[in-house]
Amino acid sequence: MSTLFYLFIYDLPDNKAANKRRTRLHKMLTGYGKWTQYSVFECFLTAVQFTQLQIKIEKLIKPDEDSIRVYVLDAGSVKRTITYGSEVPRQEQTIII
Amino acid sequence: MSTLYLTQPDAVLSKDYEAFQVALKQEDGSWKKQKVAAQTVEQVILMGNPQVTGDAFVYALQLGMPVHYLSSFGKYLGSALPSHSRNGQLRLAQYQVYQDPVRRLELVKAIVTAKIHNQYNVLYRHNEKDNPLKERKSLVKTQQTIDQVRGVEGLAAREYFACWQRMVGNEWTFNGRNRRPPTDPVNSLMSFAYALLQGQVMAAVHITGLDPYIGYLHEVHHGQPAMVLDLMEEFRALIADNLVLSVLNNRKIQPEDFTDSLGAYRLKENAKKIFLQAFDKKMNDEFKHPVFEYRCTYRRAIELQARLLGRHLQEGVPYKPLILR
Repeated sequence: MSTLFYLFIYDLPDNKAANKRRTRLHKMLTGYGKWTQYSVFECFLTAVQFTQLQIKIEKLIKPDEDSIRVYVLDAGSVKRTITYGSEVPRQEQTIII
Repeated sequence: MSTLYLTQPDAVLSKDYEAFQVALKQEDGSWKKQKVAAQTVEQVILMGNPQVTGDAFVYALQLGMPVHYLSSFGKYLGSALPSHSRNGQLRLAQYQVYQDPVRRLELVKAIVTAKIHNQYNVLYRHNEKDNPLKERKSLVKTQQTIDQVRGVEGLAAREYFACWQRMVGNEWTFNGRNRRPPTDPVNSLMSFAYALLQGQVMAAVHITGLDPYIGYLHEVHHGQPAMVLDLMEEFRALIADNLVLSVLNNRKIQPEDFTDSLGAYRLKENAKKIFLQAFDKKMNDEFKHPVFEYRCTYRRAIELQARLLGRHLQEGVPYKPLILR
């Protein structure tokens, strides 16, 4: 199954209800990829996984208040990614703990 | 998609919304927590019985992940498997072939031929061209009973392992294959690799819906997953033996990476991680599948072979065990 690289960036307002949504969103995204910076997640997902996540996000957020941006990148773009002060994105094949 | 290995006995795997959380006990008694993206994990392999919470366990099964248990020595203990396929028709076909001496012998011959062929290739690539395995392979064809085929298989195995001392080099000693417990580092590494492989094949057998306990080459014994062992034969040399030889020849694992306890050898913690990493890399190696003619990984190939065997049992499509060059 081929995967694409998805970059999730979110910005939610600062009030009690939105804080709750932000925490929930953060926890949700932790299940799909790597938290790299405040409000930024990097995920390698198959089409099915992405769709599932998309549905969950659409249920959670309020589009008139919150803003979430998803950038979809192919293998070439991932390879050309430049980082300063942190690791370049890579898909983990094995997690040994 | 990735594999999650937990090798620390004092680790706790729990569920945290959509993610897994692994807590590791530190020397000062505190817990170091880290998140694992559960949605992108394909399977969980637990060694040396770490704790798994009920939530995490059920979540793994819900997401369709098999959970395999290995002892801290790397012996395969068992698996929890998602309820993918329970194919009654396929099982009936499997039992029918078990009762049919002609079809059964034919299958056994195919399996053993492929095994010897793949063993020969290991020797050939390590410059052990002077060996009788080619003759043994053609000898299989003329055998009349399953026991005779097993005899040839045993003969070939002895001749195959006789070449191993030269291939592993002078640093290691290898006087033939032994197990329960393996009495030298090379044998213990091999047992470890076979156990890891068995977990993979077991999962594939379950996904396909085959009955793991009814096999053709291996006798039906209490607690012996004969079908799994049958399907493993073609992959032993291809995956496990090649892997062991490559970590030894590339000096990724050294003699001092083993500890000896009462004549049983075990890998030290760090070397275990290196070996697991190498195993997983091997499973993700790609090659062109000779039957389907597209590129696939060994991980996928194991499942393909199980499905191919299923097709053979139900529809009579000839079963071709995996043979590479």
